[in-house]
Amino acid sequence: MSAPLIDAQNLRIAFTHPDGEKLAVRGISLTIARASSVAIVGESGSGKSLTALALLRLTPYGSRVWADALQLDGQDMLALDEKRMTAIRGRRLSMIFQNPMSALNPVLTIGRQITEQLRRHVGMGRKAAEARALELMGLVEISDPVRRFRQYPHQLSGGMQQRAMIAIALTCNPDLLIADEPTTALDVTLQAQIMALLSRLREELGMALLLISHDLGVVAETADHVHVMYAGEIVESAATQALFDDPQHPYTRALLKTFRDLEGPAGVELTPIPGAPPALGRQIIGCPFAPRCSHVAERCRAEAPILRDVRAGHLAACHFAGSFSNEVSHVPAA
Amino acid sequence: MTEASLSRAGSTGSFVRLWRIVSRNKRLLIGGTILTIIILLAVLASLIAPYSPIQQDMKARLQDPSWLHWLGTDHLGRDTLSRLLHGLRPSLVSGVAAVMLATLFGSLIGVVAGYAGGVLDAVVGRIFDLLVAWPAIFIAIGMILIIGPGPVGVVLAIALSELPVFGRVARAVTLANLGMAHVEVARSMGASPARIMRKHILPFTVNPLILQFAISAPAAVVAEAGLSYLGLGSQPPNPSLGMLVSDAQLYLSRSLYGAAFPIIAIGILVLSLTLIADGVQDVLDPRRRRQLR
Amino acid sequence: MLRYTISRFGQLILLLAIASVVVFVVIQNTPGDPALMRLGLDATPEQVAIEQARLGLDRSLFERYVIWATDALRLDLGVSFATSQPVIRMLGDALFHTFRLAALASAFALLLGTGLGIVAALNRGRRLDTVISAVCSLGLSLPSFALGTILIILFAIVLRWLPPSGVAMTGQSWAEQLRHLALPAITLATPFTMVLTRFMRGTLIEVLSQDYIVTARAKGIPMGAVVLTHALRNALIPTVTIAGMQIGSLLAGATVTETVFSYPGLGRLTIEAVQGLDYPVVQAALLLTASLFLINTFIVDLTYGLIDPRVRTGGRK
Repeated sequence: MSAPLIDAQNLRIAFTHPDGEKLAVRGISLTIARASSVAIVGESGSGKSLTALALLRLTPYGSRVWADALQLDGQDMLALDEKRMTAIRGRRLSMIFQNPMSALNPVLTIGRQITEQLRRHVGMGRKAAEARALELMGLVEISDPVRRFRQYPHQLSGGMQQRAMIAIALTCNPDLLIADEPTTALDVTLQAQIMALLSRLREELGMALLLISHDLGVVAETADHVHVMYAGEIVESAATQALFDDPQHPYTRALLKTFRDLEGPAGVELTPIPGAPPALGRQIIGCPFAPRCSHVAERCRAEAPILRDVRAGHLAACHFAGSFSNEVSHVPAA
Repeated sequence: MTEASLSRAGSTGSFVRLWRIVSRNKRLLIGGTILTIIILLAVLASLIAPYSPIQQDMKARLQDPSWLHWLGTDHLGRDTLSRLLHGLRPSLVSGVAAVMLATLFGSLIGVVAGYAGGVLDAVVGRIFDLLVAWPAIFIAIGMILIIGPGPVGVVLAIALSELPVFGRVARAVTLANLGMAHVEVARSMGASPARIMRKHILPFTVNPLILQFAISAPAAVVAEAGLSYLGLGSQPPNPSLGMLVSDAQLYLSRSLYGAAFPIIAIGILVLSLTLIADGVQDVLDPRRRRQLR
Repeated sequence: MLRYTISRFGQLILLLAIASVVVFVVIQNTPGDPALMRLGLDATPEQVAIEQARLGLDRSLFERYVIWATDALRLDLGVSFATSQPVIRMLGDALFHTFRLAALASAFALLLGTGLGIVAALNRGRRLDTVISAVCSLGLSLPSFALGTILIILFAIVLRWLPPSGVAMTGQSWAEQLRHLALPAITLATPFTMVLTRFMRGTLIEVLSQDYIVTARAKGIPMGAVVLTHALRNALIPTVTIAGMQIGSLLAGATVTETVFSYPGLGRLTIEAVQGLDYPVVQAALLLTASLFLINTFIVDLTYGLIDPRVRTGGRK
């Protein structure tokens, strides 16, 4: 088996704070194989977006990223200087963001923002770049691309802005596309369209996809493998089907229950998970989910569980992993 | 409604609380201490100045600092130290009085305009837009033409030029509160507009106005100094810091001290006010407070 | 864009009219015979009588305003009490000098201010940034006349590098004129520079924390190009507005600076006229500075409309 495209071992991200450093991501490990589709699921504040930014080394001002290993095709990314990292961004790794209106530069035309990479990275001339841009816009199903090319972001609808962002991300045929909550700011119909587009593009271009979301429905359709993050750690990691069929961490189970309540027959009560995730950077003793867990025991508060194998390819960080039985069997049809 | 009651509404008049807030913030402490010293010097000027500020002595012109005259003398033989101490008063008074007037009238107009809305608000808004960018000097010149030069004109001019800023702050607070529940409740109980404005809106204006006061004070002192320098403020022989500099400028080749000391004095005064403004901002600005938590 | 321009122009005309009314009212309240202001102190009693009839001092305030305003639009602004010269000529000379000084100061401030602001923003939190911010606070604390006097002391008296007054003898070389203009220009430029530096820094830092900057960097655009192409364009838009307003208030700053350096500009002319009770000059100068100020605001608004595409394309979709 060839080396994975992305290999992250014990990745940590911390913020400098007047009171000291605060850990936002506490040591996660994951791999992304070529042309695979991986998802990271979690609440806001779980550190999932930070993890994605860390792969591009674009974490915000005042943060620090370090790990035992962070490799792209075997190459150590943490050791790269900014110049080489710049060469990787956009070409081998690219990213699309949650809110397309704010993620696009309001004072540059759509066309300019799409052709920027073509002219800079690939060295295309203006006409060639424009032609390729129009091609890309067609690929992501933007209607009337010639007119849109000269327009500014504020003149496009939300869905079209998101498609433009995808076009930008695909410009240089990246090996991996990171999609950070790509549909959260869109309505339900658009969500389905965009996710379908991403899946199709993935297949056609042989591209890997890292999907970041808090929405299990979106993940179920598109990802092959899911990592569940909570309070800066991965608490469960499995193939999608296995995760939905047989969750082994109380947090995942609670999430799935909420999800099924939403999808279920009308009149079923929603059971949100009581409590809130721990504040950023607080020292945590024992399992971070303990205060909200319905299966909590004394041991949980004293000793932090380690992420370990429950079955082949299925990991969970819970003292009682492996002891949970199936309550509900199948993921509801879309 | 006096300025004093406006500020009391916010801090329940307790000196102990004030002291606790001030002592914790380094900027407030340093700035406040310097300012207090300056105020004391100004208030006690008549008592502690070694000479009369207007007494001339043509035999002792343009002397360097000596034991007789700690800061030297000016071109008419007047003691610089005495003139400086007496000159602090116009700077402090004009600066502070002007800002107080601006606060008072600006906030009243702002609250009324915000409350009334409609045409009144629009007209007032436009007038404010006009005034706010207008440099104080032009307003001062206009004022001087009408009422003649002197501290009164300077105070009025500075007050007029700072007024719109306060008006805007008060108006913003008014608009923010108009939509809130407590105002609705009061209105439904038949409270008169005056009562609503007094009890339900004014208290919320206190903190932002205090903040704006602190921010505008250094600018007002600088404006007063500039206007006095141009000869539009206190008239001779009464000293003011700006005038001291303009007098001394003619004799710079003979003596630098005459200009240096008042400039240093102005610098220290403005710096202390700026420190206080930063300190007040640290304490009152909700955004900063949230960051500290 | 056209609609925007027309509306702004309409506002300009309206505000000019209001300003003229204000100046007129102020002048009415000063002790000065309007007829004498028109003709100067050397006029004969018969001339004064004719002028008084023309001005219609017995007519309504409104009519008098109209006559005064039409005279002003024809650039007939009366004769100075002090020099017996037509006011319009004195204003013209003074305006030329002020314009030269303001232009030099503006160029200096724009370059240095934006430059320092960018450097500070890009070095956020490091020593360079702290130093620049400290200098700004200090620079803003000192009134113009204090700074000017200090510069005179330092450069003209102690070091003897530059002359203390602002105007060279006529016919001197460019270099010599520049030497004379240097100190007043620096003094005038300083508050402007400080404000601009602070503002540019703040705006650029805010822009750099925006999502689209992350997008640009995620595209593999090097930081330098990101700043130039993406960040600066956005940061310049509000900065242009502030810079424009500052240029407007250069008029006020010029008054003090011109006095410090005995520079024969519009500001000093006004002050001397006020002190000397030369009402025709004061009235004309006030009107002129008000007009310049308002026209400047109009130009700033237009420029803003041109560089912000959101305004240019007619706002939200």
